Amino acid sequence: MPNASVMPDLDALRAEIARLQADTVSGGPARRDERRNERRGGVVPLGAPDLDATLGGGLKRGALHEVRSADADGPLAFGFALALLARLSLTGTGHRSSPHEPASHKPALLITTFDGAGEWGRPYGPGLSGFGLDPARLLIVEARRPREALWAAEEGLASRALAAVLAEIRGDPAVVDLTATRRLALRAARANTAALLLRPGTADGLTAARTRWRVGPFIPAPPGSEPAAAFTLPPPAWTVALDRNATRPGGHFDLVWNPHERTFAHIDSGADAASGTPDIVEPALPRPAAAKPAGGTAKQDTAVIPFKRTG
Amino acid sequence: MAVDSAAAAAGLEPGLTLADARARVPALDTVQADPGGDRQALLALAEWAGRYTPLVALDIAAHQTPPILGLVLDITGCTHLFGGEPALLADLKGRLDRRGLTADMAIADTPTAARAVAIVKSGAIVPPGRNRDAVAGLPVAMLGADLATVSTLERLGLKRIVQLFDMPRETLAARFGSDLLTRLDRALGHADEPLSPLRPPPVFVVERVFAEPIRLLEDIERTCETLGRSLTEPLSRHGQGARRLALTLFRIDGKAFRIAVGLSRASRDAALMASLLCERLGTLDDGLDTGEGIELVRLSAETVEPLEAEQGVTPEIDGDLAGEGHREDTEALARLADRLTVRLGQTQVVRLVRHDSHIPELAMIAQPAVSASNRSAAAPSAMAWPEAAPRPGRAPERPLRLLGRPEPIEAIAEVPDSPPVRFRWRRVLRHVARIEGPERIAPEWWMPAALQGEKDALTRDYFRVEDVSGRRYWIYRAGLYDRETATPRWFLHGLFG
Repeated sequence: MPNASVMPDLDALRAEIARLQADTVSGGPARRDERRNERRGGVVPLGAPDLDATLGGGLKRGALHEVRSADADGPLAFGFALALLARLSLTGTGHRSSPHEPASHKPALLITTFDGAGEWGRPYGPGLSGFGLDPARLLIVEARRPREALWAAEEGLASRALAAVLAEIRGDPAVVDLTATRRLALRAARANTAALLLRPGTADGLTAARTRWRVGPFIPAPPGSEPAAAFTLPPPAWTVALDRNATRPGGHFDLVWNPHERTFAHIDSGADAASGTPDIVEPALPRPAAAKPAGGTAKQDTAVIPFKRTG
Repeated sequence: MAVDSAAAAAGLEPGLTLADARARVPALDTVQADPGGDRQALLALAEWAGRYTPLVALDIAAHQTPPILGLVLDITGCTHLFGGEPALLADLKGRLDRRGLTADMAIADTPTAARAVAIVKSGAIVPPGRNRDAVAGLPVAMLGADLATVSTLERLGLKRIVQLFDMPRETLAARFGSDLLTRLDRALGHADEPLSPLRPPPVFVVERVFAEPIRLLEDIERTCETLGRSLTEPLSRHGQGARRLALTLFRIDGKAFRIAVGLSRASRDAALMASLLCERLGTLDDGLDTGEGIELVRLSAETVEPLEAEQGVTPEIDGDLAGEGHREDTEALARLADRLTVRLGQTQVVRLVRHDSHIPELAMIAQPAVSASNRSAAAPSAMAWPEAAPRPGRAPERPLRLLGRPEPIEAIAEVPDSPPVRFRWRRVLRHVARIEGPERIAPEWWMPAALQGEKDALTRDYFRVEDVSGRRYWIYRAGLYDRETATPRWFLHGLFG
C-alpha cells in the first residue's frame, strides 16, 4: 500500500488549510468551513496545543485509537478514553460559540465487558454527565466475552450512525489480535467513525491502531513529600504517553480534562503543583491549536521512538 | 393413579389406589406422577399445534375424573387449509400417532362439547348446531362440574345430560348454582366460552409449507427473507409496522422452534426483519437442530403499530437517542440497537435514564434500549441529564463507575469521626493523599422502604478520595457516629476516572 502512508498527511494538510482559511476569514463562514471539514473526516483537535501539534492537528476520526494502562489504572484509563469520546462526540469543532447554544452531542456506543463491570463497576450516568458526556446519547453494551465486545464494536462502526465507538476489553485475551484490530481500523476508516479500544492490563502486543496511548495517574508531587492534608480534589488529570503516532514521533503529556468546556489542557508542571490545583494553560479557544505553534515543541524532547506501521 | 393401555388390558382402571393395583398385578411397573413434566410436554405440544391455528389453549383440569390434560384449538376459519374438518382431524391424528401419542379428539361448536364428546367418542365430528344431540346421551360428569355436584346429580338419578334438558333452569340454578347452568349452556352452544390462548393471536401471519423438508440453515434464512417480503405487503396495506416478530419452525417429527424478536421501532423492512431473525437463528442457545427437516415455516407479526408512509416519520418522535441528527441516523441507530439486542440480549444493551432520587444507586436506571412492550412510554417522561457544571479547579462530584454493590473497606482514621488516612480495599492498603467531603446523603425517609436501596437505611457521608498513587475512589461512612450507630462502617462505592 504505497499510498497508505501518504493519506494521513493529506488529511492533516486539508485540516491545516481549513484552519488557515479560518484565520484569514474569521467569524461565521470560517467556522462553517471548519465544521464541514470536520464532518468530512479529518481530525478532531483535543484542545491541548502541544498534543494537537504532535497529533498533526488532532485525533483522526476515521481511525482506531488504542488506550492502554496498567490493570490497576483501569478506571483512570476509562476516564481518559471517555474524555476522548466526549471530544469526538461533539458536533462541529466542539467549541460553543455562545453559552446559550447547547453543545450538541452525537450518539456514541460504549461497550464494556462483564469482566470489567465486575472489577470496576458499571458506567454511572450521573458521573458521565458530570464528566461532559450526555448519557442519553450513549448506547451502552455490556458484552459477556471479549469476542462479543469486538463484534458489537464492529456493528457500531458499520452502522454509521455514531460519532464514536469505545470498547473496553480488560486484560489481554487472545481474540484481540492484530487481525481483530485491523478489522476495527478498516471499519473505522470506511465509516469515518472513530474507534477507541481501551485495554487496561495490556502492556504489549501488536495492534493496527493509528495511535496508541499509555495512561497513568498524574501525580503532582513525589509521593510521600506531602502530608495527607489536601482537602480538595483537582479536575481529572493523567500522564499519558503517546507510544505510537502514525507518522510522527509521539511524546509524553500531562493532561487535565475540563468537563464543562469538554476540552483537554496541558498541566503547567512549573506551577505550584503541590497546592493540589494545577494551573491550567488556557486552551487556544476558539481557534484550534495547531495554528499556534508557539511553545509547541518544548515537550517533545522526551525521546520516544515511533513505532513502525504494522499495517 | 393413571394407567396406560397395557395396564388397562390387565384389568386396572384409573383411580385405583396403588396398593390395590399392586395386589391385582404384582409385576406392576409404576412411575411417579410428574405434573410439571406433563405440563411442559403439553406446552411443547401446544406450540406444535400452532401449525393448525394460532389460537391454542391449554385445557388442564386435574381435579376431574378422569383428569383432563388436553389442548383446545380454535379452528374456526382454518379448516379449509387442511381440506375440511375430517381431513384436519385425520391429519392431526396421523401426526400424533407417528409421535407415539394417543389422544382423544373431537370437533364441536364449543370447547365443552368437544371435550365431552372426545372422551366418550374419540374422533367424532359434531356437525354445526347439533350439539344437543351429541351431548344428550353423555354422562353428566362430562360437563366438567366439580365432584360434589356430579355425585349429587348422580344420587338424584340424573345420570345423562339429556335428563337435565327438561329440568326447569330455576330449579337447577337453585340446587346447584349457576356454574352447572353455564356449563350446560356452553355444551349446547347457547353460551360463548372464552378461550385463553397460549399466545396472543398474531396480527399478520405468513407461512410456507415445504413438500420436501428443508434442513440447511441457509435455506431457512432464505425462507425468512421470502416470508419477510410477503409480510411487508399486508403490513403496508394496513399502514402498520411490526414491533414484535415471531418465527416458528415446525419440524417434521412434531417439534416446533419459536424465535421472537422485538424491534425498537415499528418497521416493515423485509431485509431488516430477515437479518434480525437470522441473527437470532445463529445464536440459539442449544443450536438449531433441524433433525429430519423443517416442513413448515411461519412468520407472524405479533405486535404492530401504525407506521405512516416512510416520509412521514418525524425525527422528533424517535430522535431521543440520536439527538437532532438526521432521520437516516435515527433509523440506523434503531437498527444498530436491534441488532445488538438480538444477539446479546435485552439486558445487555441499555440506555441510562435519569431517575429522581438522590440515593446514588437509585439516581439512574439502565433501561433496555429495545423493549418489546413499549418504548415510547418511558422516553418522553425521562428527565434530561444536566450538563457538566463549571467546577474550576475541582473534580466532578460523581464517579464514572459505580460498583454493583458498595464494598466494605477497612478504614483507619485518626479519630473515630474523621475521614480515613488509610483504607484497605480488596486487600490492598491505600494511603490517602487528598480527600474531599463529606457530602451527606440522608435516606429518603418519605419513600416506602421497598423503594429504598436497603432496609434500614443509614445516613451516608460520602468522600472523594485520591490515594498517593493518583487513583480516585468514592467512599462513604454509613451511619452517623454516636447517633445512628456506635461503629460506623465504611464502604467503597465507585471509581473516578
